[in-house]
Amino acid sequence: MKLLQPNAATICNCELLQVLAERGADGSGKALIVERMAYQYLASQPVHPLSAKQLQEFFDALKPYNLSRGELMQLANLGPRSPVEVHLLVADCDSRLGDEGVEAVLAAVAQRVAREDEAAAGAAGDGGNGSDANAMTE
Amino acid sequence: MFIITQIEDQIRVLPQDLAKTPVDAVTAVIEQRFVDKVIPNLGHVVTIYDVLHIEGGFVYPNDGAAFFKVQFRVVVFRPFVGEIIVGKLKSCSREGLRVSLDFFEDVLIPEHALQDPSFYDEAERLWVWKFDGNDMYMDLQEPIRFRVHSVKFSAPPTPLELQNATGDDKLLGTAAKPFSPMVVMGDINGDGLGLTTWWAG
Repeated sequence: MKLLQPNAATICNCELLQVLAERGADGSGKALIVERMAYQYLASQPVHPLSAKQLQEFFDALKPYNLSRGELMQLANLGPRSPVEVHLLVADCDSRLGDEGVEAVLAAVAQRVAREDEAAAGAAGDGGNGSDANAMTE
Repeated sequence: MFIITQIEDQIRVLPQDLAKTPVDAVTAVIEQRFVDKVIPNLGHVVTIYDVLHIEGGFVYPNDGAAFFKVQFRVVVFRPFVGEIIVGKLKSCSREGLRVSLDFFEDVLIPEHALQDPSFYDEAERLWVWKFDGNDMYMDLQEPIRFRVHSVKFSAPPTPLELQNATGDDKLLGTAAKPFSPMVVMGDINGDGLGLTTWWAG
């Protein structure tokens, strides 16, 4: 076995979701267990499954901020919703992005990537109530 | 999180599968040999991306099977150091946390990499983060955001190593001490890391 190109390309989660759907991992065909589990994991993340064009538009929207490939990919994979998460993903965030940059990134993500799934919508909708309920059951 | 790797390999197609088209026959064999396996120092193969090039199909003496030289691409799970990933907390033990990404279960967060200060609650058998006087319990099945600290690959133990092993290592490979070829060490010591509910809203 020869590894011709160990690192031919990086692939975003949404692209992998499409590949797995074509292989039948979403239940439409016979796929291996690991493919079905990977599909289940990726589909359960609170981010929109973007098409290649939408993904490119998202990256273009963030072009003026000079983010590295790894950072762009993580933004598309994770769909951060708060400044804390953006600070986690982008190295040296304060000097490179500053507050306005973080706001712009969050806006781009909220517009294109982040998705409300029922669990997140429930918690976000309740806001304070959600976290209070957790504290009470503890 | 995922990379695409181009591989070239000799694929042996059994005689009974020669009725299929070469692509289908070769794909079936690649699925068996590569998917859901760990390639050392590369990562965990999740699925086939595509088959680029098939040549050959020679049948050698004493063997009825056909050998194809195939170039194909696979999708490999290989997180880079410093990447942020969200998984589900599978189990807590004194040594730390075990996080599960449904297709990959070997993510460990050792106890020294938890948020400061964290304590192990014996009664509940859960880790607790004491933050500002609040007890933040790390409940099981909760989504947890962690940072990749390192990815460790280990070769399966050879019979000689097992024979010379002492103490705990003698059990390596059994249910008591399962062997994982690829282990991702994570840490949740930082702002935004840990259970996603801690930082939501």
